[in-house]
Amino acid sequence: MAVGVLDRLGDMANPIAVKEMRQAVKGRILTWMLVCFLMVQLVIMGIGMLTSEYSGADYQGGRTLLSFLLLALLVVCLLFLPAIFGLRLSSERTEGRIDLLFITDMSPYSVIWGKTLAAMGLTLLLFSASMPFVTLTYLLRGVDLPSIFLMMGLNFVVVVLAIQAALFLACFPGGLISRGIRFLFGLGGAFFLLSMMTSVSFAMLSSGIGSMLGTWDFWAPALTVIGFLLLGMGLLFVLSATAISPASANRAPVVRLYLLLIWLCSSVCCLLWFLDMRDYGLLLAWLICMLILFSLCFMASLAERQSYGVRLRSKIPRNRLLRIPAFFLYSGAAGGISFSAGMIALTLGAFYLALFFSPYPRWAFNDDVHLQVLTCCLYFICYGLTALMVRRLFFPPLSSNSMTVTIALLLLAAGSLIPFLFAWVVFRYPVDRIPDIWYLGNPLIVFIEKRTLEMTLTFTQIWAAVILGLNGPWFIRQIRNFKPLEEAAHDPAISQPVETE
Amino acid sequence: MLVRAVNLKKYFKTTKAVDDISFAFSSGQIVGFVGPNGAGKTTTMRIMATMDEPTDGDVFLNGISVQQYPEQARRMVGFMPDSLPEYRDVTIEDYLDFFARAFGIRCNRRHQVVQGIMAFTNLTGICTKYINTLSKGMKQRVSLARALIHDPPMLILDEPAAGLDPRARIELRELLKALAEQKKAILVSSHILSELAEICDSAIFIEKGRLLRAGSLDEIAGQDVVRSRVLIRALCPDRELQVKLLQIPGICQTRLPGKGVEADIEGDEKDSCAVLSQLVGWGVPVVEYKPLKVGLEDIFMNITKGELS
Repeated sequence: MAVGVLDRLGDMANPIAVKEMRQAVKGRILTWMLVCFLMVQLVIMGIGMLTSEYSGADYQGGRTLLSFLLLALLVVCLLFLPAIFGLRLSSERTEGRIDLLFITDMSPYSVIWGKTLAAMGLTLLLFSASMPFVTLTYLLRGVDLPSIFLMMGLNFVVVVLAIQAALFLACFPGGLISRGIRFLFGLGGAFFLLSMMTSVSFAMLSSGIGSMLGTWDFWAPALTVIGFLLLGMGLLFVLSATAISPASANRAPVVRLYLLLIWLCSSVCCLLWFLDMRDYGLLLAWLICMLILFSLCFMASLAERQSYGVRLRSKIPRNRLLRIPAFFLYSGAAGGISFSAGMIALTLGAFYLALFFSPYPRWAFNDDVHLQVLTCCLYFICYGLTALMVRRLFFPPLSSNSMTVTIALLLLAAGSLIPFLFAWVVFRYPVDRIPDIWYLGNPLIVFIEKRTLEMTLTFTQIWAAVILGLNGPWFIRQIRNFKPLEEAAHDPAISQPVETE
Repeated sequence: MLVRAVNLKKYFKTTKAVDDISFAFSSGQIVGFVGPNGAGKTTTMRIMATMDEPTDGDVFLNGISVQQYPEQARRMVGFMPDSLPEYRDVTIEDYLDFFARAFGIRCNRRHQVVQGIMAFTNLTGICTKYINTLSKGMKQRVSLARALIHDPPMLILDEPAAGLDPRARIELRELLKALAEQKKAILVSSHILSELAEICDSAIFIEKGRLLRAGSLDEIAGQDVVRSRVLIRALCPDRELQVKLLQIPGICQTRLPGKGVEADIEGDEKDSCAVLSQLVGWGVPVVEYKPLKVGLEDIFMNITKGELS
């Protein structure tokens, strides 16, 4: 009976998680890491116990020791675990091992979920190996048990976030150089998180965080922070699964729905905090975050497919009403661009509505930052749409989709530098006296010279209108082409081949 | 099981990797997929295994489109890539168990399936060995076992014999024959044409992404009869017979395989008959005149030019 239940539980386990755990148990890396970690903790405890008679006088011994133990735990969990899982996934991607999983019943989401579960399992193992030592610090005074458990919980969430980020960075196939750059980027991030979490842990322990656990003043910001951490983790998870999905699959809907969820959750949370704190800075922070998020989404959409393959078409709804939201959500450059632009407009609308209906005096808000960010965002949209047109006009239809992003970045670099160099070299203006008009192509000018805001905003609005008009026929064609398989088969206009990625 | 590829196309930027190819085969057949390097064999196989999307065209497995219903189609396909990816710290049994889980095979049945597949591919004795420590031949066997784990009616094998020693090749050949007897449709690509000739009853020839010939080996050989090959034995020294043969117009090549003389004759059976008449007319005491089957290698060399797509 018990065996039957265990078997059934075993069947429910994610195959990737089972495989990764077996690999970890049979491999030497984990064993060595665990042994070294236990030894380091023993040494820390030994030194702590020997010196406790000095620090014990002011009841700090336990807290100091706990800080060191947490540092050791974070070093192992933030530097080694993400590296192990990231490098393993990266090599699997490069060797095409993941591809074989896509001819099984497993989805890209269950692949990434399995990796995450295995990483969480090993993190839990390391945390549980550390638990007896950190609990012992309670006996040395200076720290209470709730604080200890709170710090462990917070660090666990951060470690899982770091592992999820490492998995995301590892999801993209690429050569040695690309993998190396991503590894260094990840390592930099891990060191940043390590230093941040060490100082946060120390500050929280020093402030006697354990005594505040019963108050709403603690839980309200804590839940908000945890909520945002979980949302970030979820976003990395969804993006990772999307990155490993086959190019022919309809990859976009989950990402876009998740972005919509982030938008909704963050806007509600921001509104609640704004009503509580009466601080317009919160609204502004939300606006800036959302504009950055959807500008990135816009840039990513540029690299999406411009024609719909059979696999995608077979999922397009036959019902014309349902086809409207599907256009915005399904994979495709036009849908992605429309979705991002729509979300930017929605964000701005929500921001101005909140300002308009705010029960608090509006004179408290007289910041141009939102206009500066909006202008910068418009610059990105204009460069992106221009790149889209350039690619369509000057490059073969079967050229890589990611080329649009490359063109956009090249145009951005050219627009920012060439007019400036022209003014300096040809018109011989001194560098510090070049008229503002020569900086019009540079999105950063709105942050450097605030006085250019009006001019750049007008310029980007005109540019956006013109480029949108020029791309109009392409958008209309894309909307017309967005048809299910049966309708597309009878439409002689739809015959363009699927491009490769 | 009927497999049909219909007007399959796959373009990579400006390269036509697969250019409008169509073919069909069914259960119990072992079909050789032959073509020079870069001809588009692997691309076609990956499309058939639902791993890639074609630019145009489709593949139907028992009428199910791999394009429209990839989830259903991939349950019918076992794909064996040209090399087994490296997995560190994973034993053969764990590896097969992992894929059985990935195909949703449950508890007791999973154990039975894994044990059964290991027994069939002769891996039981080494099931606790780590994959990264295996020889190429063993890895190919593990790869075949993985492709069979969900008992698919169709197998796609990409260069399964590449890099194998003679013993491993013979074992693989026997395994494939056993699978064909189980009524599986098998598509197998290989560069070792003599191997393919021994196990395949049909072949598909492609070059530069285009289909050159498809059908049974006899049919294909019949389509390209510009030469026929015969083995001639006579009661005279082979050297003497060879000299006489080279005097006959239409004999393009002769060889001495050991017993008798092998001759390539320009033309069909009529021309072959004329050669025999000529020999008899000269008083050559012919004791055996046997037409030989044209091999896959000959057909391959005849119809391909070695161009890349």
